[in-house]
Amino acid sequence: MARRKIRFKSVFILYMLLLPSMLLLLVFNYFPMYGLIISFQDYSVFRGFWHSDWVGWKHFAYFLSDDKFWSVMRNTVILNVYDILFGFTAPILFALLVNEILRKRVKKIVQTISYLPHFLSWIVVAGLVHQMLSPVNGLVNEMLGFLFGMSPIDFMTDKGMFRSIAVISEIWKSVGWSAILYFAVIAGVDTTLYESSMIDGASRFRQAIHITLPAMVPMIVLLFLLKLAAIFTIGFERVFLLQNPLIYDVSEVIPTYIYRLGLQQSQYSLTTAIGLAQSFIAFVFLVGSNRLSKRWTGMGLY
Amino acid sequence: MRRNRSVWSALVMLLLVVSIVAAGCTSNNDSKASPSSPNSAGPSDGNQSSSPASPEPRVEMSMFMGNSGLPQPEGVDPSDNKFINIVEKAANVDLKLEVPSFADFQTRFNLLLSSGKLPDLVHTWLLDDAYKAAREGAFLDLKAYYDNSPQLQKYITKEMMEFSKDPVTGHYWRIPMAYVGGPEGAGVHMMHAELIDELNGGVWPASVEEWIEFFRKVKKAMPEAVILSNSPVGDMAIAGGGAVIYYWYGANPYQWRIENGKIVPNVLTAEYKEATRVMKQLYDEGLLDKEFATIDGGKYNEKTINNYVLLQVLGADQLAAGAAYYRTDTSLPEKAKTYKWLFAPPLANPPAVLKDPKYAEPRRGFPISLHGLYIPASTKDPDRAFKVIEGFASDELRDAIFWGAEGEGVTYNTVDGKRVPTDKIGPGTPDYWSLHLALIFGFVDGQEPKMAGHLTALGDEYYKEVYDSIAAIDQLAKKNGVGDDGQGNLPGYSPQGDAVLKLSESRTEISGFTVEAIMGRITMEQLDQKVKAWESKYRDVIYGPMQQYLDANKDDLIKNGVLQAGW
Repeated sequence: MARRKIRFKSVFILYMLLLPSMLLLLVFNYFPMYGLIISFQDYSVFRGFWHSDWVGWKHFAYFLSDDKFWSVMRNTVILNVYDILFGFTAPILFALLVNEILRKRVKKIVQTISYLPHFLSWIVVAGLVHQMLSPVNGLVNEMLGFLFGMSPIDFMTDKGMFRSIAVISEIWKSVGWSAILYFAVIAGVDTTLYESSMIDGASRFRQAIHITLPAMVPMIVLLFLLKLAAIFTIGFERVFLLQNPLIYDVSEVIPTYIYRLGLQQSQYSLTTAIGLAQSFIAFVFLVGSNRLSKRWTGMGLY
Repeated sequence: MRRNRSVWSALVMLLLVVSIVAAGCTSNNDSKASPSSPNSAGPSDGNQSSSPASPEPRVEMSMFMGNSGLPQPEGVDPSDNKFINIVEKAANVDLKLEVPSFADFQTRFNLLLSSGKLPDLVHTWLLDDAYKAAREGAFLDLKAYYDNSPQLQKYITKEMMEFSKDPVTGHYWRIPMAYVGGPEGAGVHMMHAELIDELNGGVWPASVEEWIEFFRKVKKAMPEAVILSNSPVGDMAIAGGGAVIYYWYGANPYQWRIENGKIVPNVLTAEYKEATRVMKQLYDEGLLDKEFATIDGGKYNEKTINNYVLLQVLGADQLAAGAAYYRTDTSLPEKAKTYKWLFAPPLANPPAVLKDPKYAEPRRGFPISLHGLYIPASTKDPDRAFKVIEGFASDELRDAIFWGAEGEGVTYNTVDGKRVPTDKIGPGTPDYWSLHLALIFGFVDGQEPKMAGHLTALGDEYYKEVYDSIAAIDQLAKKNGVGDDGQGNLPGYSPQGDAVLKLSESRTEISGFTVEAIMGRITMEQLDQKVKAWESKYRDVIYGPMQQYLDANKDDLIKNGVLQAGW
């Protein structure tokens, strides 16, 4: 008992430090969950929770049988997969490459410049993208015309281009910022390992592959699992600002679909049902991938 | 370990249950209105409207409203200015107005509705959203108030009030804005009629082919000219400037026509296909803006001012004001003063594919617009809120908005008993923004001072040309009767369920294949296939219920001036 007391006293301050975060989690993530009941109602904000009609699984049945929903789901997953393939690997490669810059001053300048786009809002980035890709006086079209004599391409209305544009603009905006964690990991690698490998005759490439990269693996796994957990969610602003009605077929993702249906058409119950289903699938996905990760790599989120 | 997990799981479950119970116990003070409340709304005894000032103490009231694209100039307080003060005086209230920008209006209005916390009065033109909320108990039925208000009846006739009735519930949720007195219909607006004189010997093209020839002439003479552009609106990729060719073919892609009693979406017609082919030809020749599909409103306006965009589809009531604005506004470049705004005469030789010229002719507007004033059910003092509405219908406000004030060299002088406007009336003048307060009279009201102002701005000759071109559109519109309700539906019909949910999706699909065909990304045969796929997916869902409504109400519609119901 006395031992327990002493232990409690020693960790009490730590619990106190944890308390604000727990409170925030409760207030903003758990308490609002009562709102999920509206997915089983034809909810009206003017009738309130208990005066709105209960409709059972109606909204779930509606969106599950709606082609549009599955098209939106597919778009969300495809864009996320592209983001993982290219957007997730880009900061890893970037961190490895920057680590190879020998002159500290140059390294710092490269890092600082790479962080800058992170501080631009998506509205600015999307504006730049629209301007650069415009078929009238857009920089890219001007260059293609000048170099190859090509006629202007309307990139922003081309369904085949949207995902590339979205992924590339995301990489440009976030590669430096996302690489910070990897820079921190690399900074913590024992320098004697590099010295020993040099004595053994390892090239810089081999050092990167056999020392730096393995050191980064725990962080990569952690971030990868978090990324997988969010595979059915996607940043609203990027897609919303880069899309237009002509490419909704490939650009409409769950958050933009929910925005259009929920806010613009006041279908709160339907969109809550979609959100609930999305969270449920993401939850299953996270638990499943965490188990697989533990089995294969011995590492996991919990 | 396992036991620990069970305890944690139980705790989390308990938390969820508690939060759901908490939700149940949460009272929603702001949503006290039950669906039955609208029926009980009406003026209280002995408090029957229309007196200009109330003996009751002055109270503070809140109001949400849109500026309809005419914002107050900097330095003008929306809640305290010479115009809104007239309303405040009439209702004996202090109004606190919330006026979002025009671009933000829809989002802000939807957020307002989703919050459930409504002010004392609401103005909106988003009819579907407002009526949906009203059916759920958000707003009061205003019929009893209206019936007791002679002042309101002066501007909103009983017939107009009937048109505003919710077809689903039979309630009167809004006091509508009148839309009468101005020229009717919409036509093809030539923004550079001076070029007809300069490059075409003063002869207006009489067919689509002649117009295209004219476009080529202009492009040759001014290679920087855009010729035709576009102004997409939401999910409708073809609108305004981009809708001209479709207008001439009577086949706006998002609209419909009635053929032998059947509602036919325009995309299914031969005219739509032909118009799309012509648009592709223009695009290939560089006579249609290369960025027509994604251009935004700001860029379009910039091009119309600086880059010779020639044509757009425009409402007949907007031309004269626009022409006067170009002549008088000091913020426009000097060369804009030389631009001549006229309606192009209706085509003397309509396209051969057009089944009947009437499909490509203008139609009248509905006698009320989509704008309306609503009183939320949560308002503490609905009687006083209605007095505010009456304030917006006061003669004093009407005079102030349309005529301004006499003396001090302001907007008019009385000469021989007649009001003669000065050059400080009309578009571009400091008080022009006040037109957005004509929430009852309507933006097309006040034709007399408006015409007088336009005469001052345009001069005799140009004024006559402008109004002659408007008259041609107006006459055709009146001949063809009322078109739709302003939202693309037959007057009196209100879409429900999937017909609403699928509308945006359907428009998006139409936009997609139309633009792809214009850009040449799909062939005309592929366009046919896409149109067929669209038909099987959306025609019955969206147009089926409207067809049933037409079948059941055909005679009434014709009697109410919707002549196309008999086509």
